[in-house]
Amino acid sequence: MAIVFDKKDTQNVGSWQDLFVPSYNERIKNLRENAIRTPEICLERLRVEMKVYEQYKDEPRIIQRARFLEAFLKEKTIHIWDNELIIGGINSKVRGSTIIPGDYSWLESELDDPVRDPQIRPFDRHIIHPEERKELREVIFPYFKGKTLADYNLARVDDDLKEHAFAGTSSCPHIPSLADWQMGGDIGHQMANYEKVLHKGLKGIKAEVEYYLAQVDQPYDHYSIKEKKDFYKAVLISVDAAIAYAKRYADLAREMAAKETKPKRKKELEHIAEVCTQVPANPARNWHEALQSVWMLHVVISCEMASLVHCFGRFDQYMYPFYKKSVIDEKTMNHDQALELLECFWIKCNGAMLRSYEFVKVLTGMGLGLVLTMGGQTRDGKDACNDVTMLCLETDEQLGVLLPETAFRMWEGTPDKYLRKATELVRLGYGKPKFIMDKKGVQMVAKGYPELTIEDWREYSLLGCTETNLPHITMGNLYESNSVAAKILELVINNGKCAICGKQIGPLTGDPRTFESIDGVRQAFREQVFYWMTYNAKGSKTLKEAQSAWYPAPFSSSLSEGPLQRGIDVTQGGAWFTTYGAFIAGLADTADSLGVIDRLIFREKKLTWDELTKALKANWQGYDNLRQLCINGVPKYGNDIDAADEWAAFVLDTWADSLDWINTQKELLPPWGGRWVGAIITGSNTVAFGHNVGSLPNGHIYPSPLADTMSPVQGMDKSGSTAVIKSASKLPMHRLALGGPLNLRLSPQFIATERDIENVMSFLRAIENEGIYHVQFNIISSEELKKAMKEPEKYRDLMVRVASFTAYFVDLTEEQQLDIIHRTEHQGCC
Amino acid sequence: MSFADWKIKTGGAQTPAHGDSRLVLSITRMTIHNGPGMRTLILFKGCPLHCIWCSTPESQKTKPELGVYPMKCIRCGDCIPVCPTKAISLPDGKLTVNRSLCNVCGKCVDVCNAKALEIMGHRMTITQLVTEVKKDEIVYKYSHGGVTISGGEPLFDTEFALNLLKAFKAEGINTGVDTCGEVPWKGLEPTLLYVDFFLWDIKHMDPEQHKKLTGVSNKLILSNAKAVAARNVPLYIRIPLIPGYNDSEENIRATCEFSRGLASVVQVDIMPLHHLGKARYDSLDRMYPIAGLALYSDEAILGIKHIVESYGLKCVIQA
Ligand code: SF4
Ligand code: SF4
Repeated sequence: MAIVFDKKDTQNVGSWQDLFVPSYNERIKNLRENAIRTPEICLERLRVEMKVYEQYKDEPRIIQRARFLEAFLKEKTIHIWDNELIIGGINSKVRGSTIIPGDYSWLESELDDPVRDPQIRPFDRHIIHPEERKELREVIFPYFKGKTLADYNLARVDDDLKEHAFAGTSSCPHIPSLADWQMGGDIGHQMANYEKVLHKGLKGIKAEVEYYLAQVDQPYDHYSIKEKKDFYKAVLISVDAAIAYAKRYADLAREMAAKETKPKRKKELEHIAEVCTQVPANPARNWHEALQSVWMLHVVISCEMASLVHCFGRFDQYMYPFYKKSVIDEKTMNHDQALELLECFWIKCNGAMLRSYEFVKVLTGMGLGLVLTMGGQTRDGKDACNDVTMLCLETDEQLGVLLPETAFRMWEGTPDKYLRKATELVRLGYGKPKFIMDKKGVQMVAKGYPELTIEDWREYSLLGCTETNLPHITMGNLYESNSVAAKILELVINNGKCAICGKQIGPLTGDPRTFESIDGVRQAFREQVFYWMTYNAKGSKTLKEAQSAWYPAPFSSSLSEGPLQRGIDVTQGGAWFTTYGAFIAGLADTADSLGVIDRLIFREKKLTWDELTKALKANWQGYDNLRQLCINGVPKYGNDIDAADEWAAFVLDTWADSLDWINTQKELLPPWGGRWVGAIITGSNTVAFGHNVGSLPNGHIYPSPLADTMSPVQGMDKSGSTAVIKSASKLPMHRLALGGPLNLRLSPQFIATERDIENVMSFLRAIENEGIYHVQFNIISSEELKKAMKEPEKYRDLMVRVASFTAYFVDLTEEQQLDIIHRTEHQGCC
Repeated sequence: MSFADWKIKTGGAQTPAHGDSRLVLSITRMTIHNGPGMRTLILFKGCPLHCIWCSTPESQKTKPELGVYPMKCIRCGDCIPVCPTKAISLPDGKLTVNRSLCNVCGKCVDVCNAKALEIMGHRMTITQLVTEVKKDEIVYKYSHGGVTISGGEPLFDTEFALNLLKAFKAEGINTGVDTCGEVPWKGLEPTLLYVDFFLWDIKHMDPEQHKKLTGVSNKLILSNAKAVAARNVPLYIRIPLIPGYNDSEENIRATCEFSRGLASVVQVDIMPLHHLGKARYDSLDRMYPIAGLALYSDEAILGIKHIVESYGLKCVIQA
């Protein structure tokens, strides 16, 4: 093991990262630079799209799409970079952002802007070369004007939907439920059957397609013959294109090997050529080929779909046989060589994505949605950890790079050995891995897939930041809808009027002054939720129909279960399951506000609706005393107090009810059906959503950020992490089915010694047992403490511990605070 | 009702005292420095010692006290008219309480929405405490943790302590007692059956010095430690290290020699001085006696640790 902590005796550690000495070799050290360098943009894909659709304009769309992939894979520039063992790039740059067709009006305005230009802006910089700037301005922007999916969608959406389902087109941009994210691209979430290709090769898939195609020609098949034939034809074109693409790399490797003068690299290149000749066309025969095959498939999928999220599923499960063969049985390589190859694979995952200034201002450092799941249980309920699980954890520990995101599934039978390694990884403060807990997880999957059995449910893996998914039988349209619960409450208080722009946007659910009890509020809340979710589903349905017509994905279809058997594309309901994700934000603010109304207005009668609405209208200005009462005089979510936590459960139950209802309404779903599932996800959109919601009864001031995901409102969880866990465990996550992360903050001192590691491990086991689905840890940094000094209001819950002495950071004097920061920053005792 | 809720509900008003209750200062869940595993830590009010370095001065007195936090005050003035003794004023907008007038009635706390005034010490019954502690049962189970009672002196009211410890044990909860040791043997002895371990402070080996620093001699503390060890109840010896007061090599060695003689000693915790308690002195308008005293260097602490270890004792730095 490579952990070298030389100052184990002191707990005054700023970051354990500084004390960790990685043991990777020169090759990995050099390659790692590729994963963290400033990305460039790549325009090759756009060039091909502009040409091919024109060229094949008389063909059906699905054939056009296959032809596009074929041409792109044939024409794109390919490289084998120095030191690489796993090869293949989604675009032509060492680290690049592929520019996909879409609405680039934002880029048009940001390009060459003195502040916002991607190359100049202070965060998430991208290099854009002068000739690319020219091409963007002169060719690309003009070409795509009016020709994007968004334009196509807008033409089909009626005025009612424009007003109620899409914030981008509504006269009130603050509507509570938005389906906008799917407007401009296919942001579906899909997980390919990598395992199948590892065992059968793409040639095996091709044989399968040919078999099904032959069935269509039988005289007894009468329906949708043309569509099915087109589909299978498109799949064949795409699969052939993928095979040819790998061959291009094999040829390049051979060519480079011939020219290479260093004998070691020459041999490596020859070997790479051999590997790329074998996979992914044929079954993988060893660890190296398996890794290369998975990576190349991932590249091709990313070249086909424009979507952000392609995950690796249960990587350790399907990769283990190949590791076993190479390292344990045939001993053709040792553990360190296997690790080196996996590190090469890891580094390849660190592509980038160019987003607008406004977007990254709020959400920096976000890579592609690339999650790899490990651990958990086998189908028959035994522990699933294996040597590859450990190898993945080691790789994460060694490299400390952003991607792939790693999700460690744990259950009561997870061995300490793996849990310990995962916990040691937490200590390094990369925010990795995410801990996914089977006890709740399996209950949630059961809700999402009631038709299946417990054996199937145990196969779940992560698709996107937190979402449960059964790999390769599901088309997960998970980024479908975003709702801000706090906005709903604001509409309840204002009888359907937007507090920010004053428009009557929602239904009239009654003047709250006429409510006789809190039940009136509950009822109004429910009505507003159902009203908006109905519009949301309608909006989403329209977009899904457009997307299936516009962006069929024949290659991805070939790697899913269902489309081949049915002859239907994955975007058109071909997969065995299709799901739609509804994300809910602002949970804690809403729950706490409901608690304030319940307690102060109805129970204790310390407050009237008039006073409250006046204070909210004034954005709490001049109502400081009342605001303090609302903040301090009512129990808040996150402190393990039932009276407060029940409000959070009420909010989610209402949402779950609305989704259950939509699932029974055929006209609200696309023609191929599917199922809505819910998640509590906000990401850093809390900031953006904060601008959409007026001030709230819990003391929330417009436009400050809302609480994220399942977390309590910042500063309101005053009873420690176990209380937060208990509060969160009361939420009906099993009814939402998709998931939601709970972020926990730890000070580096909390996870310093070996004993602390044991404690955090047992804490994790307790969390699993309590029925939490997903937790992830942030290690508090000294920067955060400095922020806390400046904005004490937001960090009231920040606890610092020195021995048995515990204090809220903000309650300390400035001198003491500096002392704590000092302890956090420097390894020496003060 | 949880402790947090309790504070919201009762504000400053106190429920009348009855036999099975005691003033609680705070309940902290998920602590990791107060015995094995993760533990809920209960601080009681009232202590026979008054150590000059005490970092929780609000725990010393047996009666409730008024904590004042001018930083949180929003200057609404609501507290001024409700105060029966006219103890509160806002000169230049700074919240000020005249301690010689204040009788800690808690009326001001009830009206202060900003929580700039706080009653330190809430009376809680054994049933309430057990309910609160049981909330983290699952965490104890996995981490082999439990409850640690501290203070103040948790055994100050030995009858209450005995009943409380019995109640915890009846629920199968592991119990730790963080004591200064200054407890009459008659009261201490019956609790031993219900205590899984003690965190036992030894502040100085010299009786005279001990009296100077804490207000009492160490005679009873040391004899109690021996008697507890003879009953085989595990002991974690804790040495608060205060530069220039009790950290001479001679005293450290004497403490180690004594600890080595205790058959049930598990480890020796050394707890270097910190000044984090100063803010609490401020909120009580009390003077912090050791302000500005220099803190330890890493090396100095390690040096002391090595001395402890040379006695064959396990030593943990609780920094
Ligand atoms: S606690 Fe003291 S300051 Fe507050 S109202 Fe009572 S007497 Fe006045
Ligand atoms: S009631 Fe509280 S906030 Fe208002 S003046 Fe008194 S101490 Fe300050």
